[in-house]
Amino acid sequence: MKDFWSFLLQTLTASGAAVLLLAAKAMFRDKLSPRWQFASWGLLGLALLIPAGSFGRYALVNWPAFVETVKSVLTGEYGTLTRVSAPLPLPFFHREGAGLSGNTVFDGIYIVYVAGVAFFLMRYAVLYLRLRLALKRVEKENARRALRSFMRDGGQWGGSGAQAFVDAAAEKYCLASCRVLEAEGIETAFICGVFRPVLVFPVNMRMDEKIVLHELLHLKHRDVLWGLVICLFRCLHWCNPLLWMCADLAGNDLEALCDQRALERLSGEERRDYGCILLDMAGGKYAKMPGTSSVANGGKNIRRRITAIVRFKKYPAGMGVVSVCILLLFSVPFLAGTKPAAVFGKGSVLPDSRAADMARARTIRCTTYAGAFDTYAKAVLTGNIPYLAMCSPLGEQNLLARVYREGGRVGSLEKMSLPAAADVQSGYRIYNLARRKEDVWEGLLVFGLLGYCDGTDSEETGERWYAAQNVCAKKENDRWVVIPEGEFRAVRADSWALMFPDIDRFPAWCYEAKGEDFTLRMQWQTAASVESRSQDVLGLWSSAFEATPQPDSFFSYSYSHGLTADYTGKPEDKGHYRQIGFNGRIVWNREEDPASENRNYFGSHASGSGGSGNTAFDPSLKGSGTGSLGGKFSGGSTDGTFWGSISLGEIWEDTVRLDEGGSTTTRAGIPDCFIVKVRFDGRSEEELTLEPVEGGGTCE
Amino acid sequence: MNDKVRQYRGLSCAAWGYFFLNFHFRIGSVNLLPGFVGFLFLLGAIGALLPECRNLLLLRPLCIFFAAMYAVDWVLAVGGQQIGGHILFFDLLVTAAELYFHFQFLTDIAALAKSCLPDGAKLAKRLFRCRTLYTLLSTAVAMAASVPAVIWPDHETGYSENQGNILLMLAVAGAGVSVAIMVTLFQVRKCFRDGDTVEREDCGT
Repeated sequence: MKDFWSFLLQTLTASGAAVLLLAAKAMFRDKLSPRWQFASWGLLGLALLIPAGSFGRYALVNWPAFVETVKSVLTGEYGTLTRVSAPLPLPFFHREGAGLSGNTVFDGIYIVYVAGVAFFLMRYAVLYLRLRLALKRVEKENARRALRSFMRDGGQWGGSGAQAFVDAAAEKYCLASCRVLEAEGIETAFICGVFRPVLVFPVNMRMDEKIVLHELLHLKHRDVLWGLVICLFRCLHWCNPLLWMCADLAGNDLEALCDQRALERLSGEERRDYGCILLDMAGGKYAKMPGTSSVANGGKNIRRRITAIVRFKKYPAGMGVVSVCILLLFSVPFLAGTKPAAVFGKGSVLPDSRAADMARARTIRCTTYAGAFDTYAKAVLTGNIPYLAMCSPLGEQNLLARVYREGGRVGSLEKMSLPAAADVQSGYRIYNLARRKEDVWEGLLVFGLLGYCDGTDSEETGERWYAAQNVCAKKENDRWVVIPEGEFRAVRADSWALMFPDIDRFPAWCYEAKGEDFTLRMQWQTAASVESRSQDVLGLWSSAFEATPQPDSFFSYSYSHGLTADYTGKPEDKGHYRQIGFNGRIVWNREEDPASENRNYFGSHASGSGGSGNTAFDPSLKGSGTGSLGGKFSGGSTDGTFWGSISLGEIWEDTVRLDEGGSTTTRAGIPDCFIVKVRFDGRSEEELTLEPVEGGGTCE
Repeated sequence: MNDKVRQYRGLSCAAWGYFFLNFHFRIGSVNLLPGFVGFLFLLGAIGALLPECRNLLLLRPLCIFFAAMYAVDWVLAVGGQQIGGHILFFDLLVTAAELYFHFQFLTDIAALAKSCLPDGAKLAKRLFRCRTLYTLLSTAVAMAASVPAVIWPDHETGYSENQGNILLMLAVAGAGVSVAIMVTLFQVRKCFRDGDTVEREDCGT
C-alpha cells in the first residue's frame, strides 16, 4: 500500500471478507466447534495478506471498480490504476507512479493513516516492553527474597511454591511447563512472551490446576503468537472499526478454543468448577496487553464463554470433514478471486455512470495479446469508448474519459476515424500477426465496411470494402494494451476475405529462392481472430457476432499460401519445360527442424483442382505429366507438407502459380523458411530453401 | 402413536426427502419433484426424530430456510429465473449451510441407527461413509464450478473441456452417492419397521 487508494482497496476487500465470515460464524455459532470458529479467522487473514486486486481479480465484491470510480469522481483522475503491491504501508516518495497520488487531500489522509499505524505499533511495543521490564524487576525481587529465605533457613533451598504447583499440573496433564512468576498488582494469571514465555500469577491468587491447565494450553498452542498477529493486523487497519471488532472477536474465539481444549481434558465436576472459576472472573477488570494471553478476557466475553461451556460437547471426529470443507469453499473467492465482467453501463449506483464506466474499464485487464486485439477491434467496431479504455495505455485514459463524457464515440478520436460505417456482424481479422520483440505483437486489423467508398457497386465484382489499420499490442505492467500505428485505410478485396484470407489484396509474407531457370516465391498470410460466435451442436448454425470483448481470450489462426515459379532462364529454353512437380514443407523453427530425409512428407491426402482427390502422390513424379494426373493438382497435409504438379503445355506465361490454399493452424507467427523440392518433366530435380525476402517485411 | 411408529414415520420422511432432493423430473422448466418438498419431508423427519436426536434441533431453522428458498426458486423457475448465481456472497453461505445440513443430518440418522437398532452398526457405517463422500464431492463440485481462470484460462466464456469433464465426473459420482444414501435410508427405515429397537433417550451424537 503506497497511497490512500490502495489502503482503501485493501481494507475494503478485507471488510468484505469480514462480513462473509461474520455471517457464516453467526450461522454456525452453535453448530461448529470452537476450533472451526477460530480457524475461520484464517480466511480473514488470507484477505488481509493477499494484496487486493492481485492478477486483476477481486474477492467477493468488485472493490477495485468501486475504488477507481470514487477516485475518478473525487479527483477527476483516470490515468492511474490503484495497485496494492504489499498488504503493508510502504514508504512513499514524491515520484510519479511510485508514491503518493499527488492529490494533497488524499495524500494528507494517507500520511495520517501511516502515522496512526506507527502510533499503534509504538504504543503496543511500549506497553509490552514496560510489562517485560516490570516482570524483570519482579523476578529480581523474587530471587532476592528466595536468597534471604535460603540464608534464613540455614542453607536449605526451598524453591518457589508456585513453580512446583505449575510443574505438577503440567506433569498431570502431560504438558510442557515454563517459568513462573508471582507478581503483585495484577488481577489474573497470564502467559507472557513467545520465545521465553513466563507464566505470571497474582501473589494472593488461589492456585488452581484448571487455571494452570488453561494457561499451559495457551503455551502449548503458541496462542501468544496468534495474539501478536491479531495485534499487528489491528495496527495496520486501526481506522477500520469492522476489522477492529473482528480482532476482538478473534481474541475471544482464541480463549473459547482454549476453554474447549481444557474441557476436553477435564471431566465431570472439574468442568463445572472450571465454569465457576470463569464466573468468578466475570466481574473482574481486564486490560488488553500485547504479547500475552490470559484466562480472563472481560466480563461480557466470559459470559459468552460460560454459555459455550454449558453446551459443551466433544464434537465427533467426523465433524472435522465438513468444517474443513466449509473453510475450503470460503477460501476459493479469496485465493482464486473473480474476474470483472467486461460489460458496462449496468447497475451503477453513482449519478455519473460514465465516470463509473471509465473507472471500471481500466480495472479489467487484457491478460493476453489476443484479448487486447479482440477488445480493440470490438471497441472500434461498436464505437464503445469504455471498451477502448480496457486496452489503451493508462496515459490515454484521461483523454478517453473526456471524450466519453462529452458523448463522443471511438470514431471521433485521432487515428480512429473510419472511411465508412463498420459492419459489426462480419467481425474482424488480424492479418499477419507476428511478434516484433518480447511482449510486443503487431498485425493488420481488418474488418468490413457498410457502403462503398468510391461509389462503385462491389456486388457485381464479388468484392467489398474493408477498413485496415496496422496495430501493435504490448505489455504495460500486467495488462496488454493496443497502440494503433497509422490511420484506417479503405481496401477493396474479395467479399469473403474475412472468412477466407485474400492473399492478393492483403499483405503477405514473402519467401524466395533462386533456382537454375526458375525463382520460386512463396506468399504466406495468416489471419487471426477470437471465436465470437457460438455454434450449435452440429456446427450448422452459428449465432450473431458477440461484440462484448474477451480480454482473456486466445486466437484461432488460419493461413493461406501461394507458391509461384518465375521463369528466369533463356527464352529459347522455355519450350523445354512441359511439366513442373513439387513437394515441400514448412519449417517453423530451423533449429528444431528434423532432417528432411527422415520424414515422410508425401501425404496420402492429395487433392487438387485438376487432379483426382485422395490420390497418393508419387514423390519421384515419374509418370506424371500428361498421364492420369495431367493438368494441375496440388495438396497439403496438417503436418505442414504440400505437393503438386502442373502441366505447362506448349505456351505459358513466365510466372506460373504452382499452388495455393490454406487451412487452420494453432501456431502464431511466421515460418523460418520453406524447403521445396522441384522436379521438371520428371527428369532434373532441385531442392530449394525459400528464405524470407530481405527485411522480412510483407509484400503487398 | 408409539415411539416405533413415530421413528418409522421420521425415517420415511428422511428417505423420501432425499428422493425429492436427488431426483428431478422436469416438464419444460417446471420440476415435478421440487426440492422444497424434499426439505418439507426432512422438516417432518426432524420433528419426528427429535426425542431421539436432540442435535436435530440445530437443523430445524436451516431446514425451514431451505424449504422456503427452494420454494421461491421453484416458482421463479417457471419464469426462467433462479435465485442462485447472482450474488456470490449469498451463494457461498447457502452452499456452506447445505454442506453442514446434510452432513449433520446424516450423522444424526446414522447415530440413531447405530444406537437404536440391535445390528445397526453396519448401516450406520455405510451411512457415515456416504455422508463423508457426499460432503467431499459436493465441496469439490462447488469449488470446481467456482475456481475460474486461475486453473483453466478459457473459463471466462464458459466451462473449458477439462473443467466440464471434471465437473461431469464429480456430478456422476455425486449422483451415485446420493442414490446410495437414499437406499440406505430406506433400509434403515425397513429395519425400524421389521426389527426390534433398543430404547434410547438420545442418539448421542
